[in-house]
Amino acid sequence: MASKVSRDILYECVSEVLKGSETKRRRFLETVELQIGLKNYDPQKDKRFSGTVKLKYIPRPKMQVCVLGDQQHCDEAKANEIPYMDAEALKKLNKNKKLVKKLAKKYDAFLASESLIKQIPRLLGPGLNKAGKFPGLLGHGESMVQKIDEVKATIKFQMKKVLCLSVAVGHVKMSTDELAQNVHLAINFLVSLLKKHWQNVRSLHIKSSMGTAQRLY
Amino acid sequence: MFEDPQSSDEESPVPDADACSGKELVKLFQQEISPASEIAASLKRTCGLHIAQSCEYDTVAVGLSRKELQLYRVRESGELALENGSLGRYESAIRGVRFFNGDPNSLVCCTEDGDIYLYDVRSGSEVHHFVDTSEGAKKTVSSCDINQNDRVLCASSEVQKNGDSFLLFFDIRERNYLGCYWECHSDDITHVRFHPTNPDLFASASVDGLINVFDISKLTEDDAMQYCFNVETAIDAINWHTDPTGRDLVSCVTTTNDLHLYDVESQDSVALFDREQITHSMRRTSAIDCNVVGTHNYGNGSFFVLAGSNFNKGKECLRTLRYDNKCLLPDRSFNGNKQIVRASVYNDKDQYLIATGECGLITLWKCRMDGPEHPSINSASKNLKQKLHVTHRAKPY
Repeated sequence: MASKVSRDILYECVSEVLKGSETKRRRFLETVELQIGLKNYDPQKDKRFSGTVKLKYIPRPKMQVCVLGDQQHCDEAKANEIPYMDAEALKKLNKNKKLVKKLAKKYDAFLASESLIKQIPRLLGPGLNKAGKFPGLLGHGESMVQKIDEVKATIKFQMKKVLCLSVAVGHVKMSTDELAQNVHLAINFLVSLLKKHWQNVRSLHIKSSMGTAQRLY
Repeated sequence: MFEDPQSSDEESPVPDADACSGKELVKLFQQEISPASEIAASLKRTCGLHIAQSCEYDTVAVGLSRKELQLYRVRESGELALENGSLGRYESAIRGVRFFNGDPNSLVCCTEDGDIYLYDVRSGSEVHHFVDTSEGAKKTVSSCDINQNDRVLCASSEVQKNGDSFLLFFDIRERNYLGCYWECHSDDITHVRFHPTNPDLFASASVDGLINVFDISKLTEDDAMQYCFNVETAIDAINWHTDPTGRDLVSCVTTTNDLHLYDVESQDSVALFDREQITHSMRRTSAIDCNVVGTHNYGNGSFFVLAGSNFNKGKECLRTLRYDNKCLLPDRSFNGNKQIVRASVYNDKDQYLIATGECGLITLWKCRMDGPEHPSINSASKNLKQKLHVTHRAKPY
């Protein structure tokens, strides 16, 4: 997938965004978003434009992931200071909707061992579904820390009725290089999903939460 | 500098093409089939986005992007013929069309505004209009389906202003609204499919990445929710299949053209094919142009994936890949496809594939060749060429 955004422009815009946040510091960690404007795309006719993509560097470092684990995973979580709950702890919630909702609110995402994930509807009811936080599968072959980093590095995007879409690709404490790589990856993936690829892209901008938008394309 | 394997520094993207020679393709795809019949839905620009066939396979309903529902007769010869005028014209976009499972003359059509129309195709008239106004405004509908015994209609909604998305249930015979599920998804529900033989079982899929399987004979939503599969990415469509031992499988096509397959009872992921793998199985070069249309059951215990390419407005290829023991194998290649295909139906009795798409054409291909018909379930170990008498179309090259 060839890129229509040259490395020079990419780095220039990324630098501008980072510089902007330096000169006017905010009391929170600003997110950097990629804004994509589409053209020649009809939301009524064309296939839905949505999906998930894993970035190279974690855009939301403060994301809290909780492990719903079997014995082995709970031990691993404890050793790595990762929040966890076992089947017993989940059973104690007694399928109480308020408690499940509270649990869902406490964490940004969940990962669950294979044996537990199959029991979630029975143990917790649809509370995690409703909150959009149904756990992802945590296998035994992979490192828990790595899997959690993967979850933190994955971003979702969805085009609704309007022809523009905004997706978080980083934050202002990232280095120019890291941010540029994330932006590049996100652009390439998003464009690869469009039917006519670059011909469907009207514009690309990046901006920090409080900063001015920098045009990439 | 960047490790993304999909990026390159070339000025123009690699055009999509066959990944092997014409000779190889003919060898791999066993059958190269030309259309038996093709009809344009309209002289003006429109897209065919939805299609359904009756249980007797002699009628096909097509939902067009210009908010019109048309009916076509499918003759035994495979010829398509438009039934008089249009069955329905609507204020909002068509989101689903389904025939009844046991009655070839009844079908439902749901529209974005939340209206679901029941038609009798013999009279060509609307018999009933289902709508849920239990909470005031109608909910935007995204898909619908009817259960095996034609008693229950389910319509899925997009996420509403209050953040809820719904599965609405109607009693078809009593013509009334039964109730809804509203806790099982957190984003637009994109597809609902009832089980082909169990009237109580159905599955829903959503942009939230979940496939939920329900038993609607249970009293509450909590109890009805049997299984949840987290695909972890937005889902476009789902379908029911069985494995060679008769176990239920659910497949889904994601919005990024990947195919996932789950064993329902064990809740295990059976197979996962991303668009790169599907493109490779199809023998094409460009994964970013891969267009997975959907899956269909052969009728003998296995199923296939229908996929094409968006390159050159879809004219490049339309192929099927047979699923066999965690592999996708080259199956059939359809010549003369003139559009990006968006919806299809498969008549497993006569082996007709009918597809519609972005040029508003409805095309029928007859897949049956002389000699033994369906690919057998364990064909991976057999040499099909010995069994089938295949007439190859000479490919100029």
